[in-house]
Amino acid sequence: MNPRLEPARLPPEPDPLTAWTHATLRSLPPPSAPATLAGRVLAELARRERLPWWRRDFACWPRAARWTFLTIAAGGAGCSAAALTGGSHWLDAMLSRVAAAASPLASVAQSLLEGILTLPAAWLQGLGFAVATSLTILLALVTALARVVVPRS
Amino acid sequence: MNHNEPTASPVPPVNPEEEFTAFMRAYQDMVYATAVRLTANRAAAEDIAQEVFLRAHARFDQLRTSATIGGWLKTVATNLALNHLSRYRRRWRFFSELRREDTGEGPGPEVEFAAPDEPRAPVEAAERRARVEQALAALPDHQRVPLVLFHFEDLAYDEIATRLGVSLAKVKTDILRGRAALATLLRASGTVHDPFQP
Repeated sequence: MNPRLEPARLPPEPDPLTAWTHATLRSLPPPSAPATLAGRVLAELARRERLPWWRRDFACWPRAARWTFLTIAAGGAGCSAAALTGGSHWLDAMLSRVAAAASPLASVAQSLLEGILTLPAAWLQGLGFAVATSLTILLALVTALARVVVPRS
Repeated sequence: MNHNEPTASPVPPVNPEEEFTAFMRAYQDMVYATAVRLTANRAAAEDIAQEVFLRAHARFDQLRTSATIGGWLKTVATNLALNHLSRYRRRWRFFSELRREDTGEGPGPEVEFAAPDEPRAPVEAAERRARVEQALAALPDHQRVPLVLFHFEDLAYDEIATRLGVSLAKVKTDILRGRAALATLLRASGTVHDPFQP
């Protein structure tokens, strides 16, 4: 038996139990890895290779996508910080402009809603059914298209 | 350190994929051994070894020329194994300072070994190694893990304490009791007669 004592870790004259344990354990050959291990790793690498880039690690994203994401995230963080600190008049002005631009749309939506409410109840029920059917069909089409375009991992 | 690190260099590969496969086959026993001795769980060790090589693949361009690649693999395998124990086995209980074993109770749990036909007969080498592995795996985590880190991974007591997040005294106590429990288990199984002269 080769005790393989390591002077750096064991005292120069280890006690009998320590020396025996070290010799016993270090005499053990390393357990053999399962024969399937290498195949598993390669299969997992191949699976990851098939994933679209947005489902991989961030480090594997295309450079343009990474910079775009970082820019948006930094912008969002900056706006949040400005809003939280309350020191940005620029943000207030921007929000006011957005609200002003949206006000004509709000008027149109209000008129449309009032017009719809004047319709008979049966018409409204039919309209609701048509909208629900259209959304269901649209959802099914989008799902089918996604399965065709994006291969399953 | 790394007494079981491969020494033979693989055959020069043809392409990166073959090179990585050869690298993996050269180091897989070492990585798996580290994981299985720490976790005492073959399925978990295989998962950990797989994760180690996936991480190695992600930085294979840097690792392939590194002289410390074996150490890197062992470190990652050790960290993943400790994370596994922490996540799935509530390490805080095993390594707690208030663990009952610190109060001086007996060593590890009773383990059933196959009874030798003749208690005094020498055990075949392979059988003996299997029993040692079995006894090591039978130790409770709070004894086996520091014992493996000390005797296989060559970590010092203070390094083990840092890794496990426990006190130095706790590590020394657990290792001492782990050695005693191992000797007791092997003596009880008839694997050794005098633990200090195996």
